[in-house]
Amino acid sequence: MDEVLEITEEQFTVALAIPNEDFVYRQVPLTELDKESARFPLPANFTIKYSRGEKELSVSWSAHTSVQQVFEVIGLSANMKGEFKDIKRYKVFSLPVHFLRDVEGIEKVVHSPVFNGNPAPIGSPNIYAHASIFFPESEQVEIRKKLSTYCQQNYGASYCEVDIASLEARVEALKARADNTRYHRCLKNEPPQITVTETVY
Amino acid sequence: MSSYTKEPNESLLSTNSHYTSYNKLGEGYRVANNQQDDYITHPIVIGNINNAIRDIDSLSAVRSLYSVTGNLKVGYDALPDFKRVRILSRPAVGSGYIQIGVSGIRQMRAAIKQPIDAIIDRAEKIKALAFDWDDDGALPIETALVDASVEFLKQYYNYVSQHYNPIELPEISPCPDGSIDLDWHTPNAQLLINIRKDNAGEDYTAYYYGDKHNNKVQVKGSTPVNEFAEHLAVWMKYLK
Repeated sequence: MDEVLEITEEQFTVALAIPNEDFVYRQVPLTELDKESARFPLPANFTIKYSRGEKELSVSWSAHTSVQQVFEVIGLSANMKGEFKDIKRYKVFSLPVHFLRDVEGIEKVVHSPVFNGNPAPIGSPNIYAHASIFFPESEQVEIRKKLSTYCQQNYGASYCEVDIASLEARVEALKARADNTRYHRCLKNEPPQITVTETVY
Repeated sequence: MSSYTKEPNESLLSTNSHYTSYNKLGEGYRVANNQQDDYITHPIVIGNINNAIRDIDSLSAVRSLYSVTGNLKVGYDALPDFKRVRILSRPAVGSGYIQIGVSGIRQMRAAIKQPIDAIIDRAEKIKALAFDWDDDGALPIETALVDASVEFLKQYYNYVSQHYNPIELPEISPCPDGSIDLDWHTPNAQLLINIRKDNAGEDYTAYYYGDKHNNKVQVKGSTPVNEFAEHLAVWMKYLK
C-alpha cells in the first residue's frame, strides 16, 4: 500500500508563516567527543558551515512534524558515504520560536520545505517541515552561545526524549519500503481547473 | 616520618621536623611533621577553597592558600574536577589555620594537572578527526589551529590566574566548519571563543562573546591569536 504525504508538490514551494507560539526541533549529531563533555549541546552543535556555502541553521517546524518524524527523516537520510544515518547518534532539542526571534542578531526563522522529487531519491527524503534560522557570520559566536545556553538551562523542556528502540524498528520498516514512504512521495500537482463562466446577456 | 621527597621548588618543606616556623612564607606559616603525614599550616583569610586548591601547582603557589575560607582542615580526593575537592573536617573555630598534608599536596597537584591534561588529550583527539567526523559533513580541524588554540588558552588562563583569580577551564570543541570553540559556562559568567582562519585565510583569529548571564557586562569582538587582548583577559576574571 502506498504511503503518500497529503501535500502537493506545489505546496513545497510555498513557505508558510511560522507563529511565535510554535517550536522548532534541532537535530544534533552526538560524536564520541561530545560523550566526554560535561555539557550538551555545545555551541559547536549550532554551527553554520558558511565556508561551505551554508547560509542557514536547519531545523524542523513543530506544526508539520513530530520528534518521532524528525528521527525518521534522519534515519532515511544518507551520510556522505552513502549509508543511512544512525539515529542513535542523534539527539533532538526543541527551541521556542519566540525565543529565537528575541535573540539579537537572528534575522529570521522561516519555513523552507525541502523537495527532492516525487518520489524523492532513496537517502534524500523530502522534508516539508524543514525551517531555517538565519543569522550573519559576524554574529554567529554570540548566537551559537545563546542557543546552547538555552538548551542547557532548559534541558528538561528542550531535550526531546524518545524510545530509540521502537524508533529504530520504525525506521527499519520505512527503509524496507524504499521510496514508497510519505517522506518520498507526495500528491501530484492538480491539473489547472477550467472554470466556465456563463455570461447572461 | 613520611616518605616525602624534596623537589626543586619545595625546599620550604624539605627540612622541617616539628612545627618549624618559616618566616619566608610569612608570619604564621608553619610546616609540621607528625607521625602520620607531613602537613603545612596556613593562616586563613576569606576566599574560595576551589580557587586556592587550583593554585597549588608549586609550593610557591601554596601561598594562595591564604585565600581559603574559614578555619578548615582540608582533606581531598584527587579528583579531576576541582569542585569535588572535599573538605573532610573543620577544626575548632578560631584556630586560623588550614592544614594540608604534603602527600595531599602532591595528590592535589595531580588533580590540578588533570584538567589541563584533559584539554591537551582532547586537543589530540580533535587533531585526529577525519572529514565527516560528525556523520554530517564536518570538516577536519587543522593541527596548527588546534595547537594555536591550546596556546591561546594557556596564555589567557595563566594571565588571568596570576593577575586576578583562578578561572575555570573551558570545554574545547571542534566545530563542523573546521574551527575550534573554547566554551565557558560558570555560575558567574559565560564566554565562547571561536578560533578560525581569518577572512584572508592566513592567520588565526579569535572571535568571542561573553556576558555575566542575561546579557549583562558583555564582551564581544575579535583578536588575532598571536596578539594579546588585555581587555578580554581582564574580562575573563569573571569566569570563576
